[in-house]
Amino acid sequence: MTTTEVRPATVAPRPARSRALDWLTTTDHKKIGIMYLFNSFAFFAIAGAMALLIRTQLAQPNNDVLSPKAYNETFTMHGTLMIFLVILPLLSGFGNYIVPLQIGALDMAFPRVNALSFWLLPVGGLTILSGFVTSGGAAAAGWTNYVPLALQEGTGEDLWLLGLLVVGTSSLLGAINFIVTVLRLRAPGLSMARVPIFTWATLSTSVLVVLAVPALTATLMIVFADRHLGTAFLDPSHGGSVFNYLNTFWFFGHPEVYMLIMGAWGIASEIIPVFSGKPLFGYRGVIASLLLVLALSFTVWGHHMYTTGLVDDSLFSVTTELISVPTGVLFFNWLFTLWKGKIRFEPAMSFALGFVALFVIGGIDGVWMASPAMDYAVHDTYFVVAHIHYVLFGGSLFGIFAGVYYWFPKMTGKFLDRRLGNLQFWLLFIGFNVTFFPMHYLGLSGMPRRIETYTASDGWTTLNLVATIGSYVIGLGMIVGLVNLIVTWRKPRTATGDPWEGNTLEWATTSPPPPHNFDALPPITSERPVRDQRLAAAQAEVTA
Amino acid sequence: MTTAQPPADLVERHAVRAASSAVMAMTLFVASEAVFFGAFFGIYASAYTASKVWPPADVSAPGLRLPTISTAVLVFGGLSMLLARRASRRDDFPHRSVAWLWVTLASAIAFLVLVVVSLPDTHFGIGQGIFESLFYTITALAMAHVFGGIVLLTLVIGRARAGELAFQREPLQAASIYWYFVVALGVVIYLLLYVAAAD
Amino acid sequence: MAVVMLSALPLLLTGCVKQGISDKAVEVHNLFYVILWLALPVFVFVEGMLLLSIVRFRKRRGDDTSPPQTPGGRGALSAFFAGPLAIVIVLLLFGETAVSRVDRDEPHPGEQLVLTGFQWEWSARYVNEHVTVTGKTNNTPLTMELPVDVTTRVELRSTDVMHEFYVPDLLFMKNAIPGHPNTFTITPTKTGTYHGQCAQFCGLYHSKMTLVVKVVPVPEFQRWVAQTAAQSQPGNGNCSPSASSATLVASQVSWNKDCIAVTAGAPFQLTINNKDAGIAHNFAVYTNSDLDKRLYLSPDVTGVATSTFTVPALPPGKYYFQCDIHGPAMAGTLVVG
Repeated sequence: MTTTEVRPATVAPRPARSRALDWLTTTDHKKIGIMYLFNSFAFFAIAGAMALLIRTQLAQPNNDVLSPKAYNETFTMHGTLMIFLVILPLLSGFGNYIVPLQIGALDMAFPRVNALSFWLLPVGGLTILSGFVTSGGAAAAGWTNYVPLALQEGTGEDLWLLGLLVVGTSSLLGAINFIVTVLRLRAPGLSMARVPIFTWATLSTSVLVVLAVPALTATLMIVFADRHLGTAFLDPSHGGSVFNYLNTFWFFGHPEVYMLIMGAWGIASEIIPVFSGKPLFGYRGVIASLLLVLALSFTVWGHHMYTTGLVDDSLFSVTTELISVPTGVLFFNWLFTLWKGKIRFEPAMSFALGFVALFVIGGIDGVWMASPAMDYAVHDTYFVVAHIHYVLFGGSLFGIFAGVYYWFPKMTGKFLDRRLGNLQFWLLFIGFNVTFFPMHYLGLSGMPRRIETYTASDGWTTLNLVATIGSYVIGLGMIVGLVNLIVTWRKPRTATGDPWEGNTLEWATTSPPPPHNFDALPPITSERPVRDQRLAAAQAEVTA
Repeated sequence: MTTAQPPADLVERHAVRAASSAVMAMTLFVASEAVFFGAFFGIYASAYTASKVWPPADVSAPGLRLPTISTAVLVFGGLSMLLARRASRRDDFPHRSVAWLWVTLASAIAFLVLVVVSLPDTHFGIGQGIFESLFYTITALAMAHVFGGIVLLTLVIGRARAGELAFQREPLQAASIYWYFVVALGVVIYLLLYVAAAD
Repeated sequence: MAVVMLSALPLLLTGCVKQGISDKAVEVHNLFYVILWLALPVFVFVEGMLLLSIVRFRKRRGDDTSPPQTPGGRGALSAFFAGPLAIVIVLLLFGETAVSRVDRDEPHPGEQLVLTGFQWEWSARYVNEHVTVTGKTNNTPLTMELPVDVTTRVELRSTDVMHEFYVPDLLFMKNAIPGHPNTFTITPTKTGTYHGQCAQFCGLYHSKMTLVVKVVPVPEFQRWVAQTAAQSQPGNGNCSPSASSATLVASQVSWNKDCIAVTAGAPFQLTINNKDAGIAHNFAVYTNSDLDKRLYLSPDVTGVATSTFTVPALPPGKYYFQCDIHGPAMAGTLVVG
């Protein structure tokens, strides 16, 4: 059988063409990965600015920085953009760049579908944002878009529904691509038990996407149908029910949050062993935990509905509390990797350690809310807002920043400035805790979510002001990060193929890799092939 | 930037594995479609368990004659697809397979026609209630998927006639996975929307 | 420094959960602390190990030797699973007990309440006493009184979107869902004035959808009920002179009049002038404020718009009218005669 007919485009030598056109038409997973990152950080800037607006509005009681309508649109867009256009695509972006490298492959299984997956994202994101220029304004029913409220909304809502359908399609195509790539394109010797944890995490995330995003598609369609096609899915006077929305939405919604965190777990699981000089403790246990979380994540969705009176609270409390077990196992594995290691501190490692320190708090918050009677007291309050941000910011985003500092040299051949990186870390770590830890108290003292203002007599003023100050520190930290990127842009390429003394195959090629990724692959006899090769080379030198 | 060629084994592996990746990709896609329809079936189950009488009191049950015939036609199309797959092991592949594909295509079109013809038999509007909404939405989505299958079958037959299928069975395998899903979907819909709702 | 940080934590977390003004609330208050004491060891262990490693296991300059490459075996992994599982089991036992007590329908309620949420206020109908009190959107919060140490059974409803009845001092909340009433019982044990507000995002004035619950001794409660009943309740008001038509202006989810008078024995023209943009109102006539029988319902008028309807003739008497969407917040007396 000839091999020429299905040669990926990246292999054949190309005539010179304009760089812009090259990037617009590329099917190279590395370029696509970089575009994912840039696109997501652009939406991150928008959603982050919205966060600062929200915090500015809430700094004082009876504030009028944002009208109620503008506020409702702002927090809806902040949540929607962060979840669908920032965190998941950032993790997908890393997945795109790194996974084929980590498995020693040429490219993703379907390079052209990969390009389509990317380009659908800015289209979907801009569709959602375009609601702001309609007369009724952008969607304003919260990222969770509960009905019947969403049925009252104007055109911005329809653009939100449509944009998310496009984004969901992008995720689904990308997920299928990842699964086929990891299962079919691994280098010889790379059994599944030796596959890097980041790749395992991307694989798990992709399975979640395939099995959960279609439920979102169905949900978005029935809202659109009730709004415009005269159906009665959600109208109680015609046999419909709000329950139909809640069930289908949260069946997607809970696996969704695991889609947002697993990649970060994977990144931490790469960085912590490398910078401790030790193997990841309990490698197979980590894989087993990932798979257990994957399976259990489909059984817990009712915990978002404890206060509705529509689900069996006790049943879901059991499944919800069980899922904390494999999650906890992951922590022990990371901690025992560090234990008795020789820890090197680079910004990547600081962010990874910060991730562990903060995600555990978010996880513990979850334990409180998993108990229905406790949830009756804190649901829909700022306690939940604290939880969300500890896991998504302290967790996912810190993991992502760790990935940025870790893989930036691989992608560009340059090192991000170490001191600026550490400054960014401390500003974010301190700013984040100052912003979000007080929200636990705010929730317990009765401050509900999604209110654009409160009164002086509520007693929430001081903590809100503190949180706002913290949010400005976060903003400063993000600017430092941007400065770092700009300062590094003009630096020369100084990174070798393996600047961190890494373990996995992405470090077995130059920084950045050639278009075809590898000139040669090391022998693969463990989950740390690059380390094995490095030690063998050092041994050879000694004996020579 | 180096212009070195990649190691031959990398390219070889990509090519060999890539070709049968289509089958795996289709399986995953079908799994996602199953979840998609599952959401609607879930709503159906919810409404069914919540109501005392099914279909709800004001709904005149859709007639069974035409739907039974159309479902039988669809199942027949599933069998002919099975035969098309079987025939792929023959030495004269793809000729016999293509013949069975034509039969499958015909049954798919016949199914669509029969469904359209049977729709005026239903005497309720989409917005009257949950059963009606489910009925029309699920039917519309299913028909869209049958139509997608028709497009897919046409593409495969086209490639076979162009001689591209001489050595590759994967397009047929992938198309058959999709088609089996559509047939199974048709059977489930028949049971839920017609049999369970019959008086 | 680590020790200081870690020991500060319990202090940080005490005194932040409300005491609770009912036995059910105290149940939840206690559960908070049970969970805290289960969570604290996990927190201390994780952050402690982290800090300890950062301090003790730094790579020393010039030391290029490899640390022990412990892979981590089955024993360790079993312990990793067993530990959290044990905590989870204890947590479930306490949690189940608490939720079964909190969800329990306390028997022999002394008061029955139908609490309705609508955009964007609440109304409360005391079933036994035939008395209704309501808040008015962007105007006044619902102020309702409950007798102390008496069980009140609440039926929670919504006429439009999802809302959530939330009184922080009760450490309790429940969704008000259109088409799906929720019932629960509360038995407050501490007198006082308590703040509540809607916790389920419900649109433009969600932040203003507040209510006030006053828990008072029984005699004071009865006085309040009598006082409220004596005030002109919708359906019991008086106005004149009668005319053959009437106009009602809707603004900020309130009517401009709480009484209209029309002539008996002939149909009359009813005009709704709806100034609430994007919000629908209608006109419904009932025999009484308990909504025993509806005699007329107009089509919806979505603001900003004006519409006139012909209401069929009614025998002389006093009727209760309301906007069916916003209930008692937009209610009044229809005097026919």
